[in-house]
Amino acid sequence: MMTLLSIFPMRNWPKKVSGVFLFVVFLSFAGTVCRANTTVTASLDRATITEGETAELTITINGASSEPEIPQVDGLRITRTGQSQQYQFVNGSSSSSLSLIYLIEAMRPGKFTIPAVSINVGNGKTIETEAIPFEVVSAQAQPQGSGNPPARSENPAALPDRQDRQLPFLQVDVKKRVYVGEKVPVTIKAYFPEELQANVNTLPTLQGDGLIVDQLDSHPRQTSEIIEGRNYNVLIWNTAISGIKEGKYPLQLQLDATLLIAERRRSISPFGRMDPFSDDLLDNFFGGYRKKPIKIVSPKIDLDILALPITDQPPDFSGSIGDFSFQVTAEPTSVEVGQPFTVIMVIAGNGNFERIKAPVFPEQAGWKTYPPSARLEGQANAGHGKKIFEQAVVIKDGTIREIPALSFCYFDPQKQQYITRTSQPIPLTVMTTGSGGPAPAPTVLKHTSSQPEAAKQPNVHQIQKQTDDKDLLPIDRQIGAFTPSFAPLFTRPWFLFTAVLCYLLMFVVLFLFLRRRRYAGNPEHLRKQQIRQLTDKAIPEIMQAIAAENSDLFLYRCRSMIQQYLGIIWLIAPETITQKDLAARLDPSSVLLELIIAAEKNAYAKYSLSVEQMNGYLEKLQQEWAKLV
Amino acid sequence: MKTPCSESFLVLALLFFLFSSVIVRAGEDPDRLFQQGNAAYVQKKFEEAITCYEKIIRENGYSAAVLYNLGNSYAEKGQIGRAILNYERAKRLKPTDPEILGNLEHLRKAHGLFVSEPSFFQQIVNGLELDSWTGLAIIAFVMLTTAVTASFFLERWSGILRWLAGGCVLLLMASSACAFVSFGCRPTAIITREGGIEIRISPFAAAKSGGRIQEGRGIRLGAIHKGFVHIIDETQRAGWVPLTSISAIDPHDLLEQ
Repeated sequence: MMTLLSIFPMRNWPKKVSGVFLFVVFLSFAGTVCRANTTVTASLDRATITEGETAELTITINGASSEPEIPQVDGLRITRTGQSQQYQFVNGSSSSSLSLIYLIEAMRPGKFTIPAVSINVGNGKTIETEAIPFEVVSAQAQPQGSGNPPARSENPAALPDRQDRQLPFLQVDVKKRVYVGEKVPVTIKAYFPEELQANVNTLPTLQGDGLIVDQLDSHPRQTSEIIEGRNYNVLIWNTAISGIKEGKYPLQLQLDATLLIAERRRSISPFGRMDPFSDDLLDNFFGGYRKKPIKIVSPKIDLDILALPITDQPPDFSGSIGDFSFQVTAEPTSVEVGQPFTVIMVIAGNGNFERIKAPVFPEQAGWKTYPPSARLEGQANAGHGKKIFEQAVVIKDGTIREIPALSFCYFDPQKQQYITRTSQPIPLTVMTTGSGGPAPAPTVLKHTSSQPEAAKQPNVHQIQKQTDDKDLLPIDRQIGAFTPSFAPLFTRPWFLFTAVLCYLLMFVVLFLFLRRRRYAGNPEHLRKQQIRQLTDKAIPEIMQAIAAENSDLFLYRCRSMIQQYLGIIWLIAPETITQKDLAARLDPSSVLLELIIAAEKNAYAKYSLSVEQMNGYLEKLQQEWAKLV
Repeated sequence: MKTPCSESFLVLALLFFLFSSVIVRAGEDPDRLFQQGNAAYVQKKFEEAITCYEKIIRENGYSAAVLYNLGNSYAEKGQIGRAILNYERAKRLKPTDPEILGNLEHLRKAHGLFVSEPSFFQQIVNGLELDSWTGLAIIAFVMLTTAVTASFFLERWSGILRWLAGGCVLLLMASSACAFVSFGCRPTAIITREGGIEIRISPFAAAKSGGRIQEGRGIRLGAIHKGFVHIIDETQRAGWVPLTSISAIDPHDLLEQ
């Protein structure tokens, strides 16, 4: 072996490929045939392979060089992948060995046998190897083993056999004897070998009837465990089960998962074992994963569901099973007749809280009770915590002095007997109106609408002529301002004055609007307005010229004014109006014509006017406007 | 010329006026009287408290706090009509005071003085008091006038001002309508006859009864005829009741009629 290794140098095989294991298997399964000087051996690298995987068959021939014929086997495909030859000289003797390597592929699961291989060693003689049996298993993992695991009363279910522990498995830890309705804690563990890659598809589901399982957490606790030197990844669910009916029922859970199987590359390389690419690491990289759905089923556990004992069952037992404490309080403990108060009942411990009902408050004529409310605290849903009941009670009879003792009955499965817990009576101080007890506040009794807690309680106040006013809001302490009357706002003088003022202003503005519009659309009015504006502007300018005794300026301004005036009246451009136009359209004796002629004369030759003349002209001008307009 | 007699007379007259004003002031101090009334109320001397509060009102006018305390006093005495009357008067002065509204509603509920569910429009109208709607209307009117006047002189802003004027018109119309409805629907008097009163179909005592109207029910006053007044109550029942069985919320309403 060492010589072989020296010729064929060692490679750094990954840990998954255990050379030591192969060597041991080789030694275990090697068939040797001893012949004088010629020997032939056949060996298979493993005795069990999974469907789809391959095994390596090696046939070693010593002292001969002929090649064997490998018979074909139904369900197997045998392919030669390589060979090696070795020569030795020991103490002057020479020898040779030939190793032939074949790849065995299984087409289906089952048990197979590599038949004996014949070798012709010469001289008509043949030698054979021994047959090699091996098994091909399918990918679906089922726990194998003889029958169910041994029944244990309080210990966990036994582990699968060593062989089955190579695959995922479920383990359930539960008490075997339970009572109908009893909530029993159960621990479910799913073990996955560390080297396996798997995806969990579902939560563990109960198979069968007679039992109910509480809701499982979709995020179970994850941990790891070592069992007999093997590492496992473990998923843990803590839940509870309850028996529905009396009898023996099996508890079995099933979990669906998907295994990711590394696919070994089916290399048919001529290099055989020496194929430099024949490495598991490369197989993982280039080979890929194959998904195999599996169902992991827990071992069956027979549960014995017992009926609750009927003898000694108290009449007020309502189905509570477990171990509980019971306390009762009340608030307030000092009340008036007709005033509601709350009785608080607390049941704490372990058990089936969903079946616990409120202890019954005894009915009496002296009080009125209302349906209680309930709430859970702690992990009551999981079977340990508190259940709190609150019940409103109204005292109607002032002679009542205490809340009576209340009782709660349950069945203790550990002691296997019914237990009744009784509270102590609670003293009450009941006040009546005018009873001489603590005097009520003289004025302040709160309005019902300002007390939301009181609004939740039933309205128990009797409405009477003299007593209902106790709910009035208190009186005012500040006197405030005075007013002489209740007259509404619109009767006040300032209001009326403001309104009238606004009306008048509106009328005035409206009037102005209408007037503006009317004049804006009237051309005659527009013209008159223009003339008026022109007159207001031009006359003072002309008078300035007269005052300055400036005849030229006087004539210039008069001409300009006349042109503008006539332009407005005749609806033509003022600058186009000439003496000729005036002569054609005006009376020859018109002062306008006279002034235009004078102004034109002055343009060419000096034409002075005296102040009296200018004033006279101005006066005539104004009279002429009046006629024209 | 001054004589000793005339000087003495002047001094006496001055002293008289001084003392009389002091006396008058001391007897009519509303704050003191108010606190006196409150003290009597706390000691459950409701009659005495009522006397104090009514004296304050006679001498000084109406105060929301005095009317409210007077209402409380009547309520404590069991005179529901008078209690509601004074709460309504206090509500006229302080329409949004929560204590006035709370006690008024409480008394009405306690004595079954329910009214029918108001319509949607009525709920809008009831959203504000009469004076609030009126105030809104006058503000809208003033703004309208301002906008119109400004648009006449500021032609450059006339577009915006016209939009503003349009909005003011709408507001004015809406608030005026609500004020009108509020004024027309609010009760003007309260039935204060203890135990309620029979409604007559005609204005005389022997007329046929048209039903009974509870003490504390709000009514609207109509015509007055020979000691009877035509009323319409909150449930829209109409008829005649004696003038002595009612009290107007605003005393001037009856005087005017």
